Amino acid sequence: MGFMNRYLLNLLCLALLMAGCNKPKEVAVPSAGPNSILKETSPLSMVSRNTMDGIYKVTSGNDLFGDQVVIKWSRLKMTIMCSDGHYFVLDAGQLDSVIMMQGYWRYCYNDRTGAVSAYISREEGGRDIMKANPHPQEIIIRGGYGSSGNEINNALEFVYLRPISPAVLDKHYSILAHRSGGRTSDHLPVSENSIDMINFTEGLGSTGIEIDVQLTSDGVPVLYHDADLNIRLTQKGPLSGPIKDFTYTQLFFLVRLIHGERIPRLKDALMFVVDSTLLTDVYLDMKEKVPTMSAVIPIQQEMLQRAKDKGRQLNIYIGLASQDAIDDFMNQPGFMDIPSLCELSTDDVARVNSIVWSPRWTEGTQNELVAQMHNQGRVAWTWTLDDVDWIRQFISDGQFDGILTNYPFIVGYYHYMREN
Amino acid sequence: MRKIIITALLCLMTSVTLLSQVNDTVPGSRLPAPGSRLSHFTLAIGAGWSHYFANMDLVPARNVQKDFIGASFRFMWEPEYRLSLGLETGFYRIFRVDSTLTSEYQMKSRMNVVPLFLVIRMRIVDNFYLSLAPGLAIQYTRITGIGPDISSYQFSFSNFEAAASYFYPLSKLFLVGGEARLMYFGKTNDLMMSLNAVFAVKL
Repeated sequence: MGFMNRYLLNLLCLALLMAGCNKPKEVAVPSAGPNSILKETSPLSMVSRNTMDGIYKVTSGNDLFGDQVVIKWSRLKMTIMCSDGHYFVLDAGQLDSVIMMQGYWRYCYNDRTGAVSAYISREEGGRDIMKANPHPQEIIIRGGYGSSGNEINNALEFVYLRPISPAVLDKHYSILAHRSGGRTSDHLPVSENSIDMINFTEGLGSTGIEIDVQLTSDGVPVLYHDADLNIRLTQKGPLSGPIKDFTYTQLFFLVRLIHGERIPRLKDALMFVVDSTLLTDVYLDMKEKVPTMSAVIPIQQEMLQRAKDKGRQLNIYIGLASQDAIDDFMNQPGFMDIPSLCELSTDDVARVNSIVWSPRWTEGTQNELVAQMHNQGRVAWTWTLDDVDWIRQFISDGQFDGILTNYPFIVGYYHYMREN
Repeated sequence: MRKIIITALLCLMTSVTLLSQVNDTVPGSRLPAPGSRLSHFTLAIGAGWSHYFANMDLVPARNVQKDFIGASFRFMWEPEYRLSLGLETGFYRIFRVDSTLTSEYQMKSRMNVVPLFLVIRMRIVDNFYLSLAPGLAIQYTRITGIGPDISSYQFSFSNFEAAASYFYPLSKLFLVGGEARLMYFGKTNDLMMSLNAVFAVKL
C-alpha cells in the first residue's frame, strides 16, 4: 500500500512537472469577423467620439466590471477602463444616428476574455453624439458580453454620469505603456517591442510608450528587451544567442517576434510613432552597457524634427538608468540640450539637465522630491507600476506627472476618474 | 508526442527506482570474491548517430538537416549500490539550415551544443542501466552567407537527459556497449536523441 501511495505521488509530481513545461497558451481575441454589425456603419468623427468620453455607471454587468467605468476614445479604438483590471477594446460606427460597437473585453491578470456587442439608440444618446453635443443629456449603452469564444450571453448596460473633468484632460499626464505597449507574457495579440504593438497600445489607453533599445553588431539601434534571442520573445528559428552578435540584416531575414512581426529598427518605430499615432511621449530605455548614445541621439533628433515639422506634440527622451549611461551621455556634444530621462538621483537629473526624473515606484511617492522637480521646471514619472491598489494610491496621494505600467487602462481609470 | 515519450521514460524510471529499493542492493549469491573492489570509477567514450526533432517555426522543414554524428564522454563513480553518479559531456550538432533567402543571400546556419550533465544512473539488471541527468550546456551558433560570418555562444541552464545503456564486459577492465539518449535543451526548446556505440574502461 505504501509503495502504491509513493508510486501515485511520484506520478502526480511527474504530471505536474510536465504540465509546468507547457508553453503559455495563446489568448484568442474574440472577433465578429465578416459578420460584424460594423460593416454597415460609417465611422464616427473625432468630435462625436469625444462626446462619448466620460464616466459611466454600470447598471448591468457590474458583477464583473464594477460599478463605474471610464470610456475614453483613442485614435482608432474606444477603450472602456474598469477599476480592477478589466478593460474593453471596441470599434464603433454609426448608422442613422445609432451608434454600434463591437469588440472584446479582457482581464489583465489572467486569460479571461469575451466578445462584446453594444449600441446607443438615437433617443438614448445617438443624436447627441452625432451632433457632438458637449453636454449630452443622456447616453445609455446597451448590449451584451460573453465569456467564451464569440458568444454573447450576458446583459451589459452603461449609463452616462458625467464628462471627464476638463481639469484632468487639460493636464499633461503621461500614461506610459511598457515595452512599446504591453508585454508578450500578458498574452496580448501582438508582440512587445514591435510596430504592431505601437499601433495597438493606444487602444489600451496609453498616451506614451517605453521602448527597449539595443544595438546590433553593425550598430543599428533596434527594439528588443532581452539580452538574447529566445523562445520567450521570438519564434523558433535558426538563430539563437545574444542579439548584439547579429547584424540587422540577419535579424531581418531570420528572426520573427512571437506573433510573426520583425524586430523593428528604432528609426522605423519612431517614424511610425510620429506619422501614425497620437502618442505624446516616448521613453527610450537603453538596454546596452556599451556606449550607444552616438547611434541613438541622431535618430532621436531627426524624429523630433520630423514631429515638429508635422505639428506633432511629441517628446522623445533618452533613458539614463545607470552611471555608465550617464557617462556615455555626457560625452555627447550639447548633451545638456538633449531631452533625457534620468532614473537615478535628483542630483544626477540636474547634472545632465534631464527633463524627466523617473524613480522606481518602490521608493514611494516622494512628494517633496517631485515638488522639487516641478519647481525646477521638470516632470516626474514613476515605473513600473502594475498593481491596482498601488496605482490608486500613487494617483490619489502622489504628485507624479505620469506612470509607466503594463496596464495603462488601470492608470487611465484612476486618472480620468479624478475631479481635478 | 515528445511529451508522451518524456513522460513515459520518467514514469518508467521512477517505478524502477522505487521497486529497486525493495531488495538488497547486492544479493548474497552475487557477492564478489574477498579482496576485489566493489567501488570503482569508469570512463566511457561514445560516438554515433544523433537526430534533432525539428520544431522551427520559421524555416521550412525541408531545409533543416537533422541527422549528424555526435560524441559523448562520461566519467562515473560506481559504488557497490545500484545507483551511481557521474559527469557527462559531449559534442552534438543540433541542426544545420541551408536556405536561399534571396538571390543575394544563401544562408547557412548551424547550431552545436556541448552539454555538461550530472548523471544519476541505476543498474536495472546485469549490464543494463537507465540514467537521468540534469545539466548545463553551451550552445554555439554559426551563420554564414548573409552579411559577415557570425559565431555566437550562449549558455542554457535548464537541460536534461534520459538514457538507457547496455555494457558487455570484454574483460575485468574493458566494456563495450550501446546507449540511447534523449536530450532536451531548455534555452532553445530543442529536443534530440542519439544512439551511440560506447567503449568503457574501469579505472
